Amino acid sequence: MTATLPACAGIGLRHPHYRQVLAQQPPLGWIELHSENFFDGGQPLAMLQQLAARYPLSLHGVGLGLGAAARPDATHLAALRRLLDAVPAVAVSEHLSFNHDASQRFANDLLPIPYTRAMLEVVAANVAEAQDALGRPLLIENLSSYLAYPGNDMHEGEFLAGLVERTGCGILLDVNNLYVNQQNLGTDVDAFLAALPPDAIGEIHLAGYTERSFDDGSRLLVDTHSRPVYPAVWQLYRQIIARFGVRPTLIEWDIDIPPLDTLLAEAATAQAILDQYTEAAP
Amino acid sequence: MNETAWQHALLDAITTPQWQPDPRFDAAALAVYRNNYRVGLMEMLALVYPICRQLLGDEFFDALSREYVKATPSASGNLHRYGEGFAGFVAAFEHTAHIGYLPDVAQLEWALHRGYYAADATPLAIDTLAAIPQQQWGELRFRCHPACQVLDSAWPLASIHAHHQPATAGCAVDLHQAQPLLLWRDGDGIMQLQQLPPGQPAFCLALLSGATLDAASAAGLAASPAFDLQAALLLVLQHGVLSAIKEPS
Repeated sequence: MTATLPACAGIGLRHPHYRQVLAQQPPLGWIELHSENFFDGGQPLAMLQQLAARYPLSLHGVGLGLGAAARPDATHLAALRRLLDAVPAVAVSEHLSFNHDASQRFANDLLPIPYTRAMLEVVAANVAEAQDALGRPLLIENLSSYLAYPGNDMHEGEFLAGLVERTGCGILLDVNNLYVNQQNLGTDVDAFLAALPPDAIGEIHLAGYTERSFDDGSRLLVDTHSRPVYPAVWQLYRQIIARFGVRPTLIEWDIDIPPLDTLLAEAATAQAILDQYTEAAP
Repeated sequence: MNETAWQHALLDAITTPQWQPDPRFDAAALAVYRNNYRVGLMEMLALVYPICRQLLGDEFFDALSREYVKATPSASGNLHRYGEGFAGFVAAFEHTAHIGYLPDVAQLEWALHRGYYAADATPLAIDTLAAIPQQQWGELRFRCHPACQVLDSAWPLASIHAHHQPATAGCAVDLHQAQPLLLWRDGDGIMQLQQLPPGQPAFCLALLSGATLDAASAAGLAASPAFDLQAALLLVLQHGVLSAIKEPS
């Protein structure tokens, strides 16, 4: 059986805190780092190996774009495979998004994908190709998006369930993304959650968004990962844990990164919620 | 498949320099994606090219990098790969073409960036070389450390680099002095650079491109009669430039 992340709170570890965490070794259930920052070798890889020796490690990719109508980039897959061969990662995740087309033109972002039957087969083939190349299952994360394909014939939850069924992948459930989509696009949160196969949910993400207003009076919640987790997102998180049970939960913060203690306090809040449901379990 | 066309159109709408309203995509949403795209690439350039940024000033550098992003789409899902053509771009760009050393400084910064992340390799042990009879050394070819590079520049790159480091900030730069450089990664993973004496740039370049030691030595001598093979060999061994002896093919 493959190892899994512990069902407790962890933090997304970013550049400003690498050395502090190595030096102080705070009690953290697990850590997650961005895969692409450790491709190839040198000091970044050596440091990641040190961190992996101390904490259960999750590697979170932002660059494969498995939701593309085009196949995944073989060079990128090979680099990720080399990284996984060099570091003992407990979990490996990617997003349900696209970032390139068949002409190898890239936008280094997490772009929304069509949720259609035809697209599901294409993305399932991409996920299967990636899992074969990496020699392990992936967790695939739901996306925060600002646009929707006009011809969608299913929703993102059904799409993820279809991927699980076809490829054996797991799901990384980002609660902030789900909330942002509900606010921006009117996503039906209950329908989304009802579609997910509970056993496939291997990890949860929490983060803060930024609200942007436009001249025409409209507003958009932008998934900036630059703020504390909002009360409404904590509330949704409680509902999700109550529904599915405790899961490894990550605090993500990527822009305007605060002191480590702030991240640890956010993680402690998540842990307190997890503890309630751990005790409640028979 | 219509889905393919939609993704293609969205990539077009995000990456095209001149935005035009597109009924398929909500304007506010597209503005977020277009901004993410540009800011992400421009921030990467600022991260990779801090000396160029200091030389040009933040405002000018940001305008320059905006032009570079317009002209240069991203070709990798790994953001760390973006910016390789910056040296060539500033050499040809009308508002920077007159700054002769700028392309070489950009080339140095790209080499430092790529070297920092380059794959690991163990340095060739002197004992390994010593175990081979010396009369056979001339025919040897080497695998070199992926982080190593030679910049055979006509500009004082070492001084310009030192001028912009905290510990040596403001040190003198003589723009008439050529300083060809060897770049290598030390045991702590930090990129180091050193000015090479005459002949050694050609010698190191030949070794890096897989030439035999004899051919590299001849290249060094051809470049300068003062070339000292023993000193050159010691230098590449000391800095771990050589990683392994290639099997004869």
